[in-house]
Formats: sequence, C-alpha cells, structure tokens
Amino acid sequence: MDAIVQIIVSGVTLGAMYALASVGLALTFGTMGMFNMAHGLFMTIGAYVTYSAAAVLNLPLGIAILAGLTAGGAVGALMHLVIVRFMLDREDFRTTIMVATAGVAILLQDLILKYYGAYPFRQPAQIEGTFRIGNVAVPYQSLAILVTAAVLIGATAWLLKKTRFGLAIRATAMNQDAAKLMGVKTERTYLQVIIIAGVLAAAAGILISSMASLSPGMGTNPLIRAFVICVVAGLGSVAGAGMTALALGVMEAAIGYYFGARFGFPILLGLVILVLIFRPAGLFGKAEVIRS
Amino acid sequence: MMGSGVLTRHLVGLIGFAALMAVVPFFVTQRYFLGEIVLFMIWASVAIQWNVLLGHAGVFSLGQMLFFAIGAYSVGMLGVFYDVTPWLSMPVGAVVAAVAAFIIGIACLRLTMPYVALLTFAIVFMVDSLIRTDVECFMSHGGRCLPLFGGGQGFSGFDDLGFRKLLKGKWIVGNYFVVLTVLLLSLLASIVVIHGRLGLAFRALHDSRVYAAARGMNRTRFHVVAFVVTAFFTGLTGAVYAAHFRFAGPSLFEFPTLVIVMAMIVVGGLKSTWGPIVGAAAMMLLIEFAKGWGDIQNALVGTVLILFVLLLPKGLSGVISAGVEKMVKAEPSRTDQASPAKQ
Amino acid sequence: MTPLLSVRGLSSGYRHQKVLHGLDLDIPIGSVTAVIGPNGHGKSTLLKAIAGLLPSWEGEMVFDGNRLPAGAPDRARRGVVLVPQGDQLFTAMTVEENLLMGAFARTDTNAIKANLDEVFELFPRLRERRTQRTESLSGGERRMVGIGRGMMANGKLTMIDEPSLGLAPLIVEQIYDALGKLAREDRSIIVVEENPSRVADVASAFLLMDGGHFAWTGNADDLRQSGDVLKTYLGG
Repeated sequence: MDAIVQIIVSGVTLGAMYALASVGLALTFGTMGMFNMAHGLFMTIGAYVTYSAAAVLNLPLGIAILAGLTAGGAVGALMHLVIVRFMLDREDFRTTIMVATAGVAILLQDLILKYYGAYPFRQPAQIEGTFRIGNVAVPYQSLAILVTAAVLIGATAWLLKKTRFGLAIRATAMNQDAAKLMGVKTERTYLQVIIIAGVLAAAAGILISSMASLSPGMGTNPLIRAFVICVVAGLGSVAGAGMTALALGVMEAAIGYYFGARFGFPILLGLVILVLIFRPAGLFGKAEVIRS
Repeated sequence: MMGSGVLTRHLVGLIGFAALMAVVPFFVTQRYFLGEIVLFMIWASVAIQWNVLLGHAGVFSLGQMLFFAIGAYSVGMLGVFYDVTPWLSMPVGAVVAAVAAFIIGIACLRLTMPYVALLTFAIVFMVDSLIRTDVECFMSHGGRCLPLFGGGQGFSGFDDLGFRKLLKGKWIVGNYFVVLTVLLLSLLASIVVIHGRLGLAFRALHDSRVYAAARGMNRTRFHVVAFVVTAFFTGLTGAVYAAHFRFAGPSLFEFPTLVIVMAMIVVGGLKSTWGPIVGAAAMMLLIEFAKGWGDIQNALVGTVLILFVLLLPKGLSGVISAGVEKMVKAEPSRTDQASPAKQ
Repeated sequence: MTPLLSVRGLSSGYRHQKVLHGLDLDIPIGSVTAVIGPNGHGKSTLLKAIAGLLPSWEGEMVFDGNRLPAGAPDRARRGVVLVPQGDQLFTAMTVEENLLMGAFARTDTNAIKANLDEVFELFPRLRERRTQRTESLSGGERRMVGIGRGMMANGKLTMIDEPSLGLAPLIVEQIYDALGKLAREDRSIIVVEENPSRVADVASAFLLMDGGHFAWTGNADDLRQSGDVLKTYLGG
C-alpha cells in the first residue's frame, strides 16, 4: 500500500513536470510544424533567471518566478523574430527548422555555461516541509508542482478552446491558408504560440530545478521525456500530451521503484517503441492538429 | 545513361581527392597538423554518411553518434577485455553498428520524419545514461574495476594499430593512411548510393510518394537499407577513431558533437555529394582559429549553423557551384558584347 | 462609376514560375464576373493573387478607393473574400465553428448572428449539421460550408473558385441557385469555372483566361455569339 502511494506521489510529480515540458513542444509543432530543439534551453533559461532574480538580486520569490517566465517567453519571441520568421515559407521548413533550433540550443547552452559556470546551484523557488499520506512523506514541493502544472495547463487549454485568440491558433494549426483568408494574422499567431511555449517551458524549468538543481544541461533530460511523450501522444495533441505525461510519469516511477531508477526511462522507451511498431501514428491517432 | 555519366565523374573526383590526400603527409610533417587532418577525415566521413540519410534519403536520424560509438566501443571493449587487435575489431564494430541500425530502423523508420528524429535522439540519450550510470563490475583491468560498457570513464589505453612499434616516431603517418582508407571507402559508398539505383529510388520517393508507391516501391524498406548502409560506415569510422585515439567513452554521445557534425553538413551543403568534405574542412579550420579567441567553440558552432541555415541554405558547395555556373555563363556574354548586333 | 476593384498590370506566380502576365481587370460594384477557361492557365492563381495568398510581382490593385495592402489577412479585413478551391475547411471544427471563423475579422456581434441565420436559410442542411465536425460531411455539404463561411465575412468582394468542382450535377444546381441569391447591389462576385455554360445564367461579364492572359472578354450576349471562339479554347 505504502509502495503504491509512494509510486503515485513521485509519479504524478514527475508526470506534472513532464506535462508542462511537453505541452509547449506539442503546441508549436501542432500550430506551425516546427520542432523546437531549443525547447529544453527555454526551460534552463527560465530556471536560471528565476535563480538569479531570487538568490543574486534578492527579489521576492513571486517576482523572481515572474522574471523567469518572462525570460522564457522573451527568448522564444527573440528566436522567432530573428530566425523562425524568415524560414516559414521554406519548402523544407520542418527539416531546416530542426537544424536551426539545434544551433540555437548549443549556442544558448554555451552562453549559460560561460555566464553561470557548471556549478549546480540550488533553486530558491521551493517550499520546505512534508506532510504524510499513511506512512509516506509527501513534500509540499510535490504538491506545489502538481498545482502549478495543473493551473498552467488548464489555462492553456482554456485559452485554446474558449478565447478568440485560441480560435486563431487552432484555425492556423488546421489550415494556415484558410486562416489567413479569414483575416487571422498567422505570422503574429506563430509569434504568440512560441511565446506561450517559452513561458510554459520556463515554468517547467523552474519546477524541475526545484526538485533537482540548476545546471546548464538540465533541460536535456526533460526534453527527451517530452520527445517521447509527444511521440506517444501524437505530435500536436496538447491534451494528449498532458495525459500521456502523467501516465508515463507514474509508469516511470513504478519501474524505477521495482527495478531501480536507472531503468525507469529505458524500459519506458522500450515499451513506447514496442507500441509504435503496432501503432505507428501514436496512441492518440494521427492528425497533426491541436485537439485541446 | 546520364546517371552513369555523373557516377563516373564523381568517381574520377574521388580518385583525384584520394591522390591529393595521399601526398599530404609528404609535405605536412608536424604531428599536430597531421593529427588535426586525421580528425578532419574522421568527421568528414561521419558527415558524409549522415548527409546521405539527411539530404538524400530523407531520414532525419539524430542517432548517428550511436553507430559511431558502437564502432568505437567494439574496438575499446574487445581491446581491453580480450586484447583483440583493432585490425580485427574494426570490421566487427562496423557490422555490429549495421545490425543495431537494422533493429532500430525496423522499429522506427515507419514513422514520419519528426518522429524518427525524436525517437533516434531518445534512444541515444537512453544508451548514454545507461552506460554512465553502470557501476557493476564486469572485469578488473589494471587494478581498476571496469563495468561492461566502461561506465562514465569509457575505455582507454588498449592496443593501437601497431604503427608505434613499426614506424616509431612517424607512427601517425600509418594511422593517417588507415583513416584515409576508411574515409575513401565511406565516400565511395556515398557516391554509389547517391548516384546509383538507391539514389534514384530516393529521388522518386521524394518527388512523388504516390507514384513511387504505385510502382511498388516501399519507402520504409529503402530507408532501412540506407540506414543500415550508412550505419555500417559510420560504425567503421567510429572504430578507426577508437583505434587512433585509443579511446571510447560516453563523451561521444554529447550533444555538441552531434551539432558540430550537423554544422559540417549544413555549412558544406545539405543534399550535395562533396559538401560534407568541404563543410568538415571549413568547420575544422574555424574551430582551429577560434582556439585563439578563447573557449567559445560551441557558441561559435551554433552561430555558424544558424547563419548558414538562414542565409546560405545551400551551403558552401551551393555557393561554389553557383559561382562556377556564373563563370560558365559569363564566357558567352563577353563574346556577346563583342558583337553588339546580338541581344 | 468607379469600379470596386481595379487591377492594372498584375503579374504573379509560384516561386520561380510566373503564371499571370500583366493582367488588367475592373470589377464593377454589384456585378457577377465569371473567369472561365481551361485548367492550368491561371484562373485560381488570379484569385489567390487578388486575395493576397500569393504576392504580386508587378502591377497594382485599387479596392474600394484604396490601394490593397499586402498579405491575405489584411485584405480579408478590408472585405476581399476568397472561397478557395477544395473548400479548405477547418476539419476538426464543427460546421458552426467554421462558419463563425468566416466572421473572425468582424466585431458586429448582432449582424454576425443575422448572417449566420442567412446562411442557414440558404443551406438548411447546414443547420441540421451545425454541431457536426466538418470532416464527417459529404462533398456537397462541405462546399456549402465553404461558401457559407465566405458569406459570413460579409465582404464587398466574394471570389469563389470552381464551386462545381467534383460535385454531382444535382448538387451543383443547388449551389448555383444559392450563388444566384448571393448577388446583391452592394456585393460583387467573381466566380471561376472551367466551363462557361454553368455560369452563363448567373454572370454578367465573362473573362476567358489562357496562358496567364485574358484571351477574350465580353458579356452574356457576346458569349452566346462567340461560341466558336470559345470552342477553340475549351475544346468543344
């Protein structure tokens, strides 16, 4: 019984972080067919800026977190304005944008390494203490992560489904030309989508660093998880990504508990590949559109 | 018929390149520079194979360094655990890489482009973290406990190609020619693939998937064949890397390494035949010069990659061939000026 | 009277291929113009260039007294509406959501509601299917959604690309009935069709397109009298 509670608590915490990490990735891919290799660096930047604002500048935690989120969105916007914008009309956009964002990733990672060094700083944005479910000690931080992820993903879903702004995004995702003909300024929509993805990634980065610590390469691990989640959910499915993330988080925690932590991800990946052999379109179907 | 003419032209080019590279050690004698050229040839070979997949077959694999590492680890493991000479373990490494590619290819290549990229990347990451976190003792070596895949340290200090005994101070020249042979094999294979029947199939698949399907061409099968062939030569290159440096470790999986090779392809010109060689040379020179400006290699590589994708998507080979075309066209236009009646 | 749309010297095309070669065109207010001619000679390209989906390489366009801005979104907001070939619906949205997307650039909520009723009156089938996703509709129903979505924009100029393409004759008739009702004093329409006989009753002016030029222009009477000229272009 305690084992199951333990698995669910750590699994859901993991899953919530992975969900936050993957929703932005799925959103950008679903809207513009852009696979962003620099998504992991958006997480890293969000985490480091929050750290700097709180631990170095001694700003209140709320403002520090806000600064981190803003930084994630700003880096996304910058990448769009300087690079992505000029590549959108290319025939082989899907391939070349991956190459270009890989370049952005390595550049940003190097800049962070140069500025902060490789020292694993402790993220100040966290809550101390635990409470108990049965015999299992649950950190308040786990609860905070779950709530933050749920709120942010819920807000994103609401934005997509219920607002005029979301309508424009969904229309653009389904048919770019038709959206333009309806008066949707798709170029601006793309910019907005990348900013949202940047903010969500930064939030994921802050949460992840609060559980582990800060390092220039901290984005890689969750990015790979996000990759796998998107593969299983079908790229572009935002709600699917959220659900898959939770499921995979719990599974990884269970495998880790029974077979050792280092096998959590490998066994999961093996299972995913096995599933894909029989369902090449992913678990949630094949359409590459946003179904929120 | 036209295709075989192109093939012949590239093969003549290959012979010329081979001759050029073969005389280099007679003029360049400093070990440092020869070592850098050896490294250039290794990365050029990896880039050549990756370009076949990325630029020609349309397979967006991010798993190339895995096959490179399989070749390297084969040499390292067989050398450390069983004292096998690299001459034997190199072909073994290439074959193991090809077999691994076959298994991964069958599992992943039915998916569409972005999924292939995601999965191959995830597989490399998984292998990397499994190797790094392995602490179980497989064999004691030199008073040190060594896990089966070498753990975070990897393998080093195993038997080399034997030129240190044979050629003494000039051992690197021996290694040079072994690496050159591998590069030439890799280049030959790429030329045959790109301009042979397989390349024709890739172009047919690229131009019209429906037509190709109607002709009974199976996209996945061609992709798996390309995946296995390129993995074989990438593995062979990894094996010769390990034999030259007497090292194989998880640092081969690092993201910057992948991006540097990617930059070589893009700088040289994606979809070209000789671009990766041009690109590898250009990137090696750039990195060499950048050493004088401090430790900025990765930031520089990233910037160059972005600039080329944005501004010169056809790479240096695109610039060169456009320049050649201009010169060819400029010739008759000059004669036009001489006879003003023509316009 | 100044025309609603006046095009002078328009050239456009795809990447490196020029398709339209310096076209002149005037669309009067409240008219129905038919662009006819064989496939692959630039009819759809013309509509896309006017709508702003394709950039103009040369020439200028004056619409409603102003030069048209670049880009489809801004032109849509000015009232240049294109119902594209193949419908281009938002497949994962419902019929009603698709129709409301047509009014995306508008803010006059009450008028939008009235417009929606108008569309449902014209195509009663769509009212029955309003909550259905468009991917589950028949070809004819999709065309109705496409045209209805165009109507929802309430533009001054509505361009419809091959409304009869791929539909059964009976449905084509229904669609053209609806198009006849669409024409109003304050709304100009351009219809593209390969075959002039379908549009003969609806349109007042005809433009025959061949190789990116207008090879022949005239009104309905001219069309009847110049049967021979047209045959050479349309192959009988």
